[in-house]
Amino acid sequence: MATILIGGLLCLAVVVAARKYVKDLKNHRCCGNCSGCTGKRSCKE
Amino acid sequence: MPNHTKEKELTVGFIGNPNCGKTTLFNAFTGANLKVANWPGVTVERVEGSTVYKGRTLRLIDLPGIYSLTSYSIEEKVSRKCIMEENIDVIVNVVDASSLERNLYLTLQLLEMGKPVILALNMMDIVEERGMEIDLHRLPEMLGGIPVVPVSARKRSGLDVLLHAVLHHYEEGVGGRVVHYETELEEEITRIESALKAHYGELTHSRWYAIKLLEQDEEIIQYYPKAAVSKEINYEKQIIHQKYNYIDEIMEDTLFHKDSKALATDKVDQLLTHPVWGVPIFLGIMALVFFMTFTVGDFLKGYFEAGLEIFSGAVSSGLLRLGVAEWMRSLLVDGIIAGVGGILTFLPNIFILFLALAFLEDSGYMARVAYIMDGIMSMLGLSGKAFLPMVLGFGCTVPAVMATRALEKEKDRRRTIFITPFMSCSARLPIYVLFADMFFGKYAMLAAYSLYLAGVLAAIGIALVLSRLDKERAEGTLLIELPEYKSPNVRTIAIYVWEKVKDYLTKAGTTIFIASIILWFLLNFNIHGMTEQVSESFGAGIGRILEPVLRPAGLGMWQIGVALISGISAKEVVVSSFSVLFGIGNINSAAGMTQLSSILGSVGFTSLNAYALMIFCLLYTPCVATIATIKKETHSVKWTLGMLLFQLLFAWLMAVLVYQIGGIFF
Repeated sequence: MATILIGGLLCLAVVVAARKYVKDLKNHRCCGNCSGCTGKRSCKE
Repeated sequence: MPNHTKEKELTVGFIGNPNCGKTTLFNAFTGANLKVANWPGVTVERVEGSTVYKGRTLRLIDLPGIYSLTSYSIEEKVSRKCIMEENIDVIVNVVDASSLERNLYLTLQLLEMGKPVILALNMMDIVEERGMEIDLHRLPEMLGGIPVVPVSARKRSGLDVLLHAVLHHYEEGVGGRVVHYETELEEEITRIESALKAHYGELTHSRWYAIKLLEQDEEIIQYYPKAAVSKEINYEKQIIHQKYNYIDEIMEDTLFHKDSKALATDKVDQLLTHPVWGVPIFLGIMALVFFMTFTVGDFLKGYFEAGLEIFSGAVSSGLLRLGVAEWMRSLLVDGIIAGVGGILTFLPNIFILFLALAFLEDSGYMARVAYIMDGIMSMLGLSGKAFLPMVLGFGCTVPAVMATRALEKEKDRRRTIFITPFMSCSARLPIYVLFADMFFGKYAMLAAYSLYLAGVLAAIGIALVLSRLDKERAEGTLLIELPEYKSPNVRTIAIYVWEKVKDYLTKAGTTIFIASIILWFLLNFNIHGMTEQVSESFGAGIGRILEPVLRPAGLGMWQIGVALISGISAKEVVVSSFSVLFGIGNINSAAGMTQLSSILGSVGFTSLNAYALMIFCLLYTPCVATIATIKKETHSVKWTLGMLLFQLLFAWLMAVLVYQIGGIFF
């Protein structure tokens, strides 16, 4: 039972992590503020 | 005196350096009466407004913020075109009075265009606050008698005087020549003016066109090719130099009680931007950064290691008590906690690295680095602007690739994108810390520093080869604003470092988390199901395919092949992979490192192999996030794949050379 519960939580964690990863990949935009850039802010365009 | 019709609607262009308060001043005149569009055919914004003064309508155009009137950037081209073709009757050159020296270069260029110019000295309140004084009688004299009007856009003072000056100066017309160049140059200008007259008749602004032709300005050459000079003759540097000599004279005669902060900045810059000592000083500062990253970082990481041990032990015993299946316990403890936890123990090193870089950036030093590297960039056929993305590459290659948008020529952009991944990003630091500490003992810091230098040398070497293959001149000279040195702001640094730490933690919680799980499955399963023999797993099978390829580089172990493949997801995963591959719970601890180095040592892995591995990690394909960004920025899958293939081959070749040649001597 514990295995199934932990397994379920782990699957959920993987899905959340994967979605965040894909979202971050798509959202890399340049804001022109190079010195403060984290690669994740949307730019003016 | 020109005959201007008194009632004609006047068109006034507002022009000035970025951040001089031009738009604030413009808005003070126009209020809500604005029209915003784009200049035709480009994405640069055009702002137009109007105001009425003494019954006369003034059409106001806010031109883009620029530092000079060359034809290198789109903003400069748009401004020039507007001034020459859109019947700008009067130019209001807005200048930051507290940084007069920097702003006057554009002023002198505007005066050469032969249009009525008024100097609006903005931010006079800051001048007063700093105890500086500007001689408002001498300054107009040295600028050919043009009106110089002190204003404060923020306090809305001097606005009526400025408009009055616009009307008055328009009616008066332009003055005489302001900058008198040296005899040789003046003779050339006269000669070109004669050539222009001979081929194209009387031109209103012939002196300006002649100067531009001597600077090899591409746009003007296209308009007046018959008067163009030979490509070998380029007076651009002399013209710039002599303008700045005149600016020095102006500052000497008109500015008093120069800000002590500015004076101190000048003194420090004499050393830090010295043509000979500037680069060694930079290398010394970067060496200090690495010293701190290794010593202070290593001291702090002890606490993280202890925390990881306790956490790992607690989870393991907790899961045993709950009766969780052994494979699940192994996945959580030997896979996820070992993989992610191993990376988290490097957080102190990452923290110190970014803290140091933030300190250098906020103090104003990084702008100097770009300036002193400009000369080297030119020798490599790269634009001076290329160094800024390369410096960003020390943090992360993703924003570094995006920062190449500052380069306008596509060829320059691609060339810079091609070499930027060789600047060792922070994600590779855990690899260097681990292997340098394990195999180089007290020389660990030196070994790691040498890799950063190797990356820079690789970038320089490849840039040199590319410049020989393609003779096309790179985009022009770097024009950069050097801010005054200041004590770094604690809040700014805290925000910057927190953003980087957050990125690192996010990566640990996403990429490394998923990669650790995938790796655990690959190493614990084969076609028959779960296996206790790692050497019979899927992962081992994949790694063995690469063994013969990697053997000449001293990396002929299937585990290394698997780790390198997993490093494509994120470079830190190479370290996580070693944790999972060799079943080491806390790889960054003294015990973990001893365990790993003895396992590796037992198969003949020495410090030479370790160095070859680090060289390979430095040079091979970047992470998925970088690959995706490169593809997006170049809009070319083919180019991106070509670059990846080159990097892979180059990394292999360099690792082989290091191992084989190193084997002769060590």
